[in-house]
Amino acid sequence: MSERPSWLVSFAKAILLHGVLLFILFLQLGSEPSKPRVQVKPVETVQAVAVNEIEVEAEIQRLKAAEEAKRQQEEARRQELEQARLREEQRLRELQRKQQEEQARLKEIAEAKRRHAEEEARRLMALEQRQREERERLAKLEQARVEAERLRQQEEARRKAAEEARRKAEEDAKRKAEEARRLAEEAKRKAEEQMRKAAEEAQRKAEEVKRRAEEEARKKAEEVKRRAEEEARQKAAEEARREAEEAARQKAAEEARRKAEEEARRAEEARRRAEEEARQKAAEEARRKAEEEARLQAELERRQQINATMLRIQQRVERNWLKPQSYHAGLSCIIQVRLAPGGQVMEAKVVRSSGNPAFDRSAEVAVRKASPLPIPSDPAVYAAFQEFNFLFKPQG
Amino acid sequence: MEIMFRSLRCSACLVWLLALVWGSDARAVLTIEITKGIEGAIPIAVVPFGANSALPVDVAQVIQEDLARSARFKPLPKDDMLTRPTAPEQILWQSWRVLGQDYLVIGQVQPVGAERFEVQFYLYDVFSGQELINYRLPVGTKDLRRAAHKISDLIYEKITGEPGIFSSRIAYVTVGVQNRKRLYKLQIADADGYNPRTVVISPEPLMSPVWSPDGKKLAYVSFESRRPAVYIQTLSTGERIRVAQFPGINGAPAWSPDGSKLAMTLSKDGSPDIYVLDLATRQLRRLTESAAIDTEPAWSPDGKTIAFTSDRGGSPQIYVMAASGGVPRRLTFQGNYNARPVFSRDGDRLAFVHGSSGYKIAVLNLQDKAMTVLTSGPLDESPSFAPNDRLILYATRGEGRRQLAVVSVDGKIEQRLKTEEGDVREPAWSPF
Repeated sequence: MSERPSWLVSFAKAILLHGVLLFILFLQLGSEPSKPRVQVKPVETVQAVAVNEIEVEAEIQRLKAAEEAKRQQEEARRQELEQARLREEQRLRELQRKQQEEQARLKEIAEAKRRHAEEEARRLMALEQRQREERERLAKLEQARVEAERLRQQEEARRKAAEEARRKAEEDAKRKAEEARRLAEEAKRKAEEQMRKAAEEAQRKAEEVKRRAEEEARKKAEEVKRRAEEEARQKAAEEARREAEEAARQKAAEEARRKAEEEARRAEEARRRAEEEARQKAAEEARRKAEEEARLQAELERRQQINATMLRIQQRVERNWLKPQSYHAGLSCIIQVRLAPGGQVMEAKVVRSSGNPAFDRSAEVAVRKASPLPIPSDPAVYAAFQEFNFLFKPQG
Repeated sequence: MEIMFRSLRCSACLVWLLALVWGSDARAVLTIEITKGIEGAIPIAVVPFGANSALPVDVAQVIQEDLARSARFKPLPKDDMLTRPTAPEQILWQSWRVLGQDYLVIGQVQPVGAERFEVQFYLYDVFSGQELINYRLPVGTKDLRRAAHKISDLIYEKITGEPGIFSSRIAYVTVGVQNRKRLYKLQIADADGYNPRTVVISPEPLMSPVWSPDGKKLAYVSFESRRPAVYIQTLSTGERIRVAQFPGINGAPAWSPDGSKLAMTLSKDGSPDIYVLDLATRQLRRLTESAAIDTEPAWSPDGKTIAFTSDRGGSPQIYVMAASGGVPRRLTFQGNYNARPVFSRDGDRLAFVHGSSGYKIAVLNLQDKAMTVLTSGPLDESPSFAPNDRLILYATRGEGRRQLAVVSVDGKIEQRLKTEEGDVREPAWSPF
């Protein structure tokens, strides 16, 4: 605030400076305008040289004419001069006008410059102003920020305080409410206690009265009764003792029975389990035996079938064996046979000769001739006959 | 637990046992024993042989008849044949199998020059398709029949394992009448009676021809000198020697198996008795001495025994005695006539003429003394074993004259032999 007069003084100094400058400039412009008139004179001199030329007599006419012409020319030149004068005037006016215009322009320029200077000064001032304002603004902003921070802190503090207050208030309230409630309850309880006590007291007193009365009556009755009861009790005690004994006896009996039963049950269970195990084992054994038997049965059947087949084959080959009509007793040979599944003889060869070729041959022919041999379609049976031997061993 | 283990072990045992059974089953090959067969002749088909031209001999026919006569074969009649292949590639096995033929014989006869042929034949086992014989035999026209007999022999031997007898010969005596006079001929023919040729011809009786063991000579009795004499004739040369012409009977010669001696009947010392003549030393040894008739001696194959006919027991019966001498032992007791004994070549049997409601050929098994009558008579005589003992040749009366016939030793097959005109007597079958 205290700075403002200095800023105004410098501003006034600047204005004064600009005014001095403008005045100097104006003086310079006022001394200039005489120079353009000096330039016009050389043109009039040239004309005067041309007009001073005078022609001879012979040429009066022509001079006349020329005069005329000269007159005319003079006229024209006059007119021309007039015109020139007019033009000069016009030009002077023009110049004047131009001068005025120039002055006006200079004035304008000066004005402009002044305006500009003013503008500049103003702009500088404005700038300065703005800078100052900016500084002020920044300062204000800083101030505002600090202020805001302060306010925020204050607010925070306040909020905390408020919170604390609120909390405390709430706690207080709660505590107070609790306290109030507790007090109320306490009061209520005390009241109730008092009421209850009072009621109890009343009742107790009433009961006391009643009890005493009753007690009295009861005692009396009791006495009577007690005596009667004593007798009864003794009787009853005796009875009870007897009964207790009886009960104990019964209980013992019951226990014994239960134990016996339990024992029996366990024994039964054990027996049952043993039986079950035995049964299972027996079943398993039976099953195993049955399987074994089935297998043996199957094997037996297979063997029976094989035996039956052997018999059929034997009969068939014997029917086809043309025994040699003479051979030494005791001859025998073995023919090995390979059969196809249908019983066809695929191969029949002598694997042990009798030593008698005719005997061997007759046997071989018999086997081949008997083909196909009667074998069942059962593959298990066929398997046995896939390859087998014939022993040719005639008896008698 | 213990029990369980035990049963487990037990079942394991069982399984093991079963496995053993199975295992042994697998190792021991199943064997079917064949103890019986059928008796009978072997079915064989002999297909007519292929030939480009007509042949004087139907070779297949000869073979067929030979095999049929042997009693071991039953040839398929030609008309029953479904196919008639003559070369191996033409054979359809099934066509023979359906006919139940065990064997098949096919062949061809191709001329290989003037009067020369080549006989090719095959023997097959029908059920195995196996070729048993493939044989080529060059032969002249005259020998086609012999070639057929040779083929029969080969077939017979291949199948039966015994030599065939079809190339063997027979000797016999025919009695014909020529210019109102009797004419006796000692003849030799093929075993089937074909191809006879005369060895001796005589207006006086010829009797009892017997083959030397080597088959090269014949001994016989001839009455050509009005009295009976025993001759030995070498067949290849016709050379003959008279070995016995004793007073009385000179008859019934019989060769010892080694061919060095000749047993015969002589009556030079009274009643006919058996004598043995050593051919080398001409020493004669009397074998029997009885008032009865002892005749028709026969040597056992081992040379140790001589059988003969004697009526010393009241009727003609067969006796045996040691060839070295001794006491004869009667052999036949059935019927009141058993005569003309002959040993089988294996020595097991004795064939003879058995008289009971006619005269028939019978066989006595020397082991069990069982007698089997083989022929039906009514007048059969002179039995003679075939070289293989399977057949017995004998003379029989039929068609108004005496003829030759053959009977199998089991009596099942009895066949007449084709012989020429006249009575045919006293046949004798050659050795192999």
